[in-house]
Amino acid sequence: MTRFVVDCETLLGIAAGEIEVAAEHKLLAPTLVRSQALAALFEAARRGEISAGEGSSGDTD
Amino acid sequence: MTRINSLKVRFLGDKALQRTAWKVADKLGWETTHDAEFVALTQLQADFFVTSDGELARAVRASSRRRRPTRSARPKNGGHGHGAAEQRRCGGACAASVGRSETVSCLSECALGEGEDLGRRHGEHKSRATAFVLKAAVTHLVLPLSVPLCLPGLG
Repeated sequence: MTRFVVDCETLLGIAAGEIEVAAEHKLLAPTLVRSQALAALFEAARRGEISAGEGSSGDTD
Repeated sequence: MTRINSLKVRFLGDKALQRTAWKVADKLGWETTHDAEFVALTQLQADFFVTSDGELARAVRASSRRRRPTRSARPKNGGHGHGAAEQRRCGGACAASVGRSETVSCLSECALGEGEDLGRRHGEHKSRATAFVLKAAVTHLVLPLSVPLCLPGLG
């Protein structure tokens, strides 16, 4: 098992299915990356690149 | 965010990480600790740091010139994978083939010195971090079973 720390862009790439990670690997990230990802998705939504539904967690109003 | 929240990623942010991030940022002369948290977490808990930020990777790499790593970061499962054995050194940086055809620009291993492992005393665990940059052109990357490393001394 190899442990990888991933940054925000990498995390977004993994979430988008652009980066595939072998099941044997373990991914880690500092908690701040969640805020960075949220901000990146919000900015992308503001730019019209993604919908608000795609960016948000889906459990907010 | 739903997909991110459902990923099997361990998120960490305890006091040991904060202390180490502070030291990393201080050592590297950074104005904030944001990037330092990634470097610190790699030092403490991981084998590699994967970043798309070339500037950050270069900074981490530059820091490695101050101290040489004390041990190999070769993955325990050896050097086999999805045909990923090819590696070559190009001075401090090297290109490593991962997956089938994708290429990752790999910046050499760096050691940021003695770090505090989570739950360990300072200095008890000498860790190392490796940073490599995903090329902008890479749209699909498969992290192989084992990642070819760019270790000093390997040719």
